[in-house]
Amino acid sequence: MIKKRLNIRMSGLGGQGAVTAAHVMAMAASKDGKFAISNPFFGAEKRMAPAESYCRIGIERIYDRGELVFPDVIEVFHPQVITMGKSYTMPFYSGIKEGGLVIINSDAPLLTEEDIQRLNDLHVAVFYINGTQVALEVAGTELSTNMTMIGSVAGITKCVSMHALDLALQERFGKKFVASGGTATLDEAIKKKFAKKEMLLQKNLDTVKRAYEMGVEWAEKNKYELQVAAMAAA
Amino acid sequence: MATNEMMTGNLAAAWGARLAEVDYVPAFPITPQTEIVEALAGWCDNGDLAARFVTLDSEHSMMTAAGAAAATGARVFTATSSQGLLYAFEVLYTIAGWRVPLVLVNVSRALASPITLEPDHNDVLAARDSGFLQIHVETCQEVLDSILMAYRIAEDPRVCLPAMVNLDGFYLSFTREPVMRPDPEQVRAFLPPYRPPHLGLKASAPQALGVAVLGGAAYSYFRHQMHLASVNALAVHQEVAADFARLFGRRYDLIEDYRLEGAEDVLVMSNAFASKGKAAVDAARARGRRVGLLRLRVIRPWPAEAIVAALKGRRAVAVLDQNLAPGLGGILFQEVAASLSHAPTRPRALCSYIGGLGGKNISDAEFESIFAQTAEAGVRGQGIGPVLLYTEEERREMEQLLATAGTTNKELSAFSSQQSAGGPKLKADN
Repeated sequence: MIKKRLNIRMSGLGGQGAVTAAHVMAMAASKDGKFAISNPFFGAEKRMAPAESYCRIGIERIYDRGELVFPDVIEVFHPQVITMGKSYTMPFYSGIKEGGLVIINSDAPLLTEEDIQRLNDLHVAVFYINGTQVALEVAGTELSTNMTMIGSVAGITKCVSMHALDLALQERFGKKFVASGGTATLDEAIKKKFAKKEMLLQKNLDTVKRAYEMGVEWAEKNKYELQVAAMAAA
Repeated sequence: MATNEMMTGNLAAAWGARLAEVDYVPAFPITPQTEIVEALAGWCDNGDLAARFVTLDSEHSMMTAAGAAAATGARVFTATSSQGLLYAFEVLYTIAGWRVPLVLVNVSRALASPITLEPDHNDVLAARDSGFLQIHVETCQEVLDSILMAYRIAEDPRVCLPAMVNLDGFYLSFTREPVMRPDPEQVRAFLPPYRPPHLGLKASAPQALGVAVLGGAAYSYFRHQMHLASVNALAVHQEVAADFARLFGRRYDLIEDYRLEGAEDVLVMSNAFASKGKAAVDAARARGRRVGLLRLRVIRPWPAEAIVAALKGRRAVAVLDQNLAPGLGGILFQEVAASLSHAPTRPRALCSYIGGLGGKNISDAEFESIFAQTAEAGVRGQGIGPVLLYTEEERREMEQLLATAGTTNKELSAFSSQQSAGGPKLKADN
């Protein structure tokens, strides 16, 4: 399915970076020359409380904003979104469009037979990725779990390019080191500070790439297609 | 050089203050505004912005400090939201009477009780009679641009009033979308440093501001001066808008006309939800309905003439208020209706809708119902409302919640009948 607009709903828990993930996706889409808008929804700003974010990417100007009621893609950042109902919409897949996609971060299947049946009826594909494990393996921290959610949806739908994601991550987490033009001592101090930042940036990027490849592989194996149309040449 | 960035509404507000090269920022945090003063705190700390940043103990103190600093001739910026705005309420009126031209950003959030974090406009509209000018914006770009315009208008010698720029919490504050960040040199050309000849309160030259005037005649004089100054802001806004468009290529008027040409019926909205309204107008036009949207942008001063010019001769007008004055209905509906009452060819029907309270979504089906009902009202020649936008599905969910909370069946049926008495039921979309 090739669409003019892809609506992505990210359901996570406070502290997991769902808000950042949607912002990075929208920034990347903008760098690709597409129209994009992202926003979060949350109540109390506390760890493990439900936190949702939305990212709309398209080839035409987007007038829609705020809560995303009818998503093409739903990404579940944490099993508790499903198992404990930590979601602003019940069930977590409410409103998903026919032919849509659900990506779940979990090491084991979580859906009930009823859920599976209802998603099947809507021809919704489900991709499980053990994102937390991937983040631990590649970045050495589960804080990079949100990077796996960015990578997997990008890999499956190609809604943003890897190049644009690289640029967006640099913009979000700090640009590469540039000499200050001051003294050598000052440069040395700044370099050290940036070296750590650059290492974190690289690890996050590697995590995105790994999940992107997993997404590509899964989509090819399952012959699943859900993409945003190319922008008309300017 | 101007640059295009993906920016939240809050960051766009902070950039507006930074580009205006403000001198003083008194601050107090509140969701969903905090990101604005956080960004400014960072820039003041690292030297990107040569302003004094001060944290105060409350919004009441914050607004007092803002007004006092502005009285010294400094360019002042501050921001708040919702409960914070209410806490500063006494000071809003006081410093407007001092005639100090600072800019306050309000990030709209519905008022308690019950408590929520999402937007509606009961907070900012409560301050509509404070003497502050009010600009209500739809996009993150408009946030930044309106702050620059607000300083020019507020500081104009014909106006000399504080200004409030209102943006919706979440729908703009935390929403990231493309924003063109203007070139600082161009901003300096548009908004030169503020050097007011009449403000200069300092320790070595004490002055009294807003002293007691008993008897009423002096009081009436000064209050009426505020009114005339606010009305002056209509013409000043248009001059400033022309300058802004010439320098930056973006034009903002007192009101925004969206597909009003050839529109039989018009939907009136304000703020970020107007984007949804525009999409709904496009969809309705595609189905053959001749509808358009009028977005209210400058709400104080009230641009009655522009509103009447846009609405006269229409078949029907629907005002969608994202606020509720209990016992009355929609606030902006009253003001639109009052303006139209003197129009020579006023619409055959005026309809009043209340929607988006506490940030509640307004679905495509609800917009379509508004268009259908407004068209019928126009044909009938009789308006309706206030109608609360509330879908069947939302009603069912609310009933479930009430049942969970132990509400009895009798009370539940009373809830349902109240709902249907409130106006025609709207169907949920699917």
